[in-house]
Amino acid sequence: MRFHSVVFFLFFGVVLLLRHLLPWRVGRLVLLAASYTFYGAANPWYCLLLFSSTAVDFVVAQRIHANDDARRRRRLLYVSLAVNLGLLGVFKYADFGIANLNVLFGWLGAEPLETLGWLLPVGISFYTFQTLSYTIDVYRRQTEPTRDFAGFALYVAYFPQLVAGPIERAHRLLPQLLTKAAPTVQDVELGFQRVLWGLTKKLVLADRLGLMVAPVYGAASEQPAPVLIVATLCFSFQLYLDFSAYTDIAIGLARMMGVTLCENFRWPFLARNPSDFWNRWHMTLTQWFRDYVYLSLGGTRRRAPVLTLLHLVTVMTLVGLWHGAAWNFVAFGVLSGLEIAGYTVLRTAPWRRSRGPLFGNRWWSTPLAVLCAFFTINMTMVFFASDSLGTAFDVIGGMFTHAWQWQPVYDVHLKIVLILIAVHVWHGVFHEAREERTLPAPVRGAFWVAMVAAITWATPQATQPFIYFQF
Amino acid sequence: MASEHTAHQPKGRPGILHSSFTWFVLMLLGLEWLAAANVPYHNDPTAAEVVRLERKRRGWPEYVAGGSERERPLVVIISNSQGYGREMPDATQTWAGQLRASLVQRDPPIDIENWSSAGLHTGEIELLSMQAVERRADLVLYILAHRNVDLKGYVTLNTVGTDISLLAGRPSLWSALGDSEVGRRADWDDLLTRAILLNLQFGRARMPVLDYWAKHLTNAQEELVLGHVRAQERKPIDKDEIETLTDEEMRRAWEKKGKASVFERVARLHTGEFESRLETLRRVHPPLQRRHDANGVPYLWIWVPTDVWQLPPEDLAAAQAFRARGSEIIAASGGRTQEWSERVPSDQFISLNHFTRRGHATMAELVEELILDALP
Repeated sequence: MRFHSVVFFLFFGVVLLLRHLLPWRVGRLVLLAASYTFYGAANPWYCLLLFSSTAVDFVVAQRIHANDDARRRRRLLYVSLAVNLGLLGVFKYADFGIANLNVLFGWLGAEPLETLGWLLPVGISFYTFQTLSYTIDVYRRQTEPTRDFAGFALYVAYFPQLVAGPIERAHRLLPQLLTKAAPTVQDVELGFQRVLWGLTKKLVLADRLGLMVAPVYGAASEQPAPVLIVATLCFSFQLYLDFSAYTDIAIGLARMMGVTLCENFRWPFLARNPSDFWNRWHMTLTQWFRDYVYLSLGGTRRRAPVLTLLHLVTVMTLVGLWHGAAWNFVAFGVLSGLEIAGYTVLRTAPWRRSRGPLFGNRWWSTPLAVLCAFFTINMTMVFFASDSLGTAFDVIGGMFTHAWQWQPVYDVHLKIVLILIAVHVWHGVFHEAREERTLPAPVRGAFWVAMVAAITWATPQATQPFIYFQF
Repeated sequence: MASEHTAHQPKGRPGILHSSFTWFVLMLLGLEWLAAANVPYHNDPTAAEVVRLERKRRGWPEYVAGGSERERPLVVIISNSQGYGREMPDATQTWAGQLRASLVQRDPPIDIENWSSAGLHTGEIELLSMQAVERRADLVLYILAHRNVDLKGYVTLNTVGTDISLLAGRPSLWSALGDSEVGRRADWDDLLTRAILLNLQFGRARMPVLDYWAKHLTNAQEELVLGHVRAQERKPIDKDEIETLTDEEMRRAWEKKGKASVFERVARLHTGEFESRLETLRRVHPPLQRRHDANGVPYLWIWVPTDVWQLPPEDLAAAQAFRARGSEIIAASGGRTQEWSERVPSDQFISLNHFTRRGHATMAELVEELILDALP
């Protein structure tokens, strides 16, 4: 079921109404049933996977908590890791592994293996990480396990954020779902506004930018350099608008039900360096990897800087692989890791007097840093946008070697991207001024009508699914 | 820096006029009222309004006041690119436009609604027939060629914003869609979205907005910006060409670009498609006949006039045989057919099926004569 569909909003309206009218002990079961209905709409069998993951972590977390023997606790944790990562591995990475083995077998002259050809269950990467975080937190004694199975199942399957995050932590979301939240009028109002804003970003802007990316990347070797550059900028903004739109809708829907979800974005294209970018982009994923992988590996070692850099690159490679089972995503991760590592080396270089920002604290430092980071991020995004490493190299090579010749057919996209950059900077710099809630109610009402009008009148004919649904 | 969506918590409980929801609903209602008052229904868009002929249908139900009470007799024309008048810059110059201009001056006046579209396929014919019956037309004219009877089209309901899904947005047709094979690919979301766009004035008001964009963008840009992705590829006519080409220039363009592909399509009739298209007609026609009979809405099936002299003998034989067999099928379920190919002179065609300006005038006279005979 798509968020940006009439059917979904009818479904949500019914769920919202029932949740408010029914007593909480029934209402939360309705919410749980709605979450499974939402998830199972595409393929009911995937509900089994969701339920398995939920049941295993519920039981394992209880056992871990009840046990004081460190070795036994660790074994139980391994059970949870094996089941969750096993499911993820089989459904998401098995075919990728087999395809690469077959290349190896081809060189050795051996018979190739058959790929499984199983369809990737929507949102498996998100809910797997969410359940894992619960079990690991219980193992680390950072959170108490719940004895309420329905509440825990709702935590795993909560439909606003089930398919593409934000990846929540148990200590934050679970308590909100165990008792009936009472949303205020302001919650409903802000939630509604957030949903409308998300729909506008997705339907009016992101899908429109996407209409340029596909044809240009589809024939990258024939495109002139400026077209490749603008298509890449279009993709970066498309990805940001698409994913942040999903997050906006998820947060807005949850807020209308009185639940506060984590923020996932904080003006990512205003990052001052690659590290800063990942603290602003898909923040809940970055935090997950920081807390459960980077710190587990050893984190930052002041006395072993090379090891720290290795940790960074390893973690970012896993982040890349989390996005998709393909070499271009691996390259995206490795490159991101190398950028962060490179920035860390430059920032902490022995010839520098301070450990502060690379460009110092002069008036031009921030704009220059933002510009450099923006350039780096967009070059990395080429690997995300491409369907293969070959295409990515074609695009990057083409940016520097192809003719410097513009195609007027893309005039509109260039203008949209320039406007988006300006708006992004304006919003980031003057974020306080942008608070619509400080405006009078009629102006806010007009703002909503303008968004509805934009959605009705300017949505491209063919809307696309959210990009992050594939992960 | 704060998060992207940090918000201040409001103080106190707002009254009804302090709620954004109140203003939102009031303003939406205002916009609906404004759109109803100011967005005209088009039955005769000019070339400038049409811009892309394939996108905007002349006189399709979205652009005419569907369902309103009528005092005059109404004739609905369901045809392909010939009835649409694809080559005419202005709808008033098409035969349907000329016919309307003539019939509206009679006493009593007769209204014409031209629901034709280029490349009409069988699924669209079925949906349009449902709608013509629902509209309680006094006469429906199906003016079609063998190309419009297509099994592939019959089972395809495009869900990417083409006019067929626009038709499917009429809730009154949904029960009939359930019984029809054309409905199988329309999901509920498509039906509901289309219903909103078609039935709310506010939704319908998107057409002037799209036209505004279309006028300011080239065809290629419009494709990229508005995303008119189609299930079947259709080549847009260059905007300049619409207003500047003469009959002779269009004839030359047809000889150069279109002739080979159209002749190839005719030739397919005697190389395999003959029986499958007839089989489609056998499936489509009886329900269409029953629908018209049950609702007391008369109709006529007219084979699109063709410049028979252009066709090679074997293709001509196949085309004529198809029409003869097709007419038998239609007659078997109680329908009537007309064949006018001989009545439009060869020099009044710019292509196999499309008319010169004079050809449009001839066709208008033929159809007027038929309507006056058929209407009580």
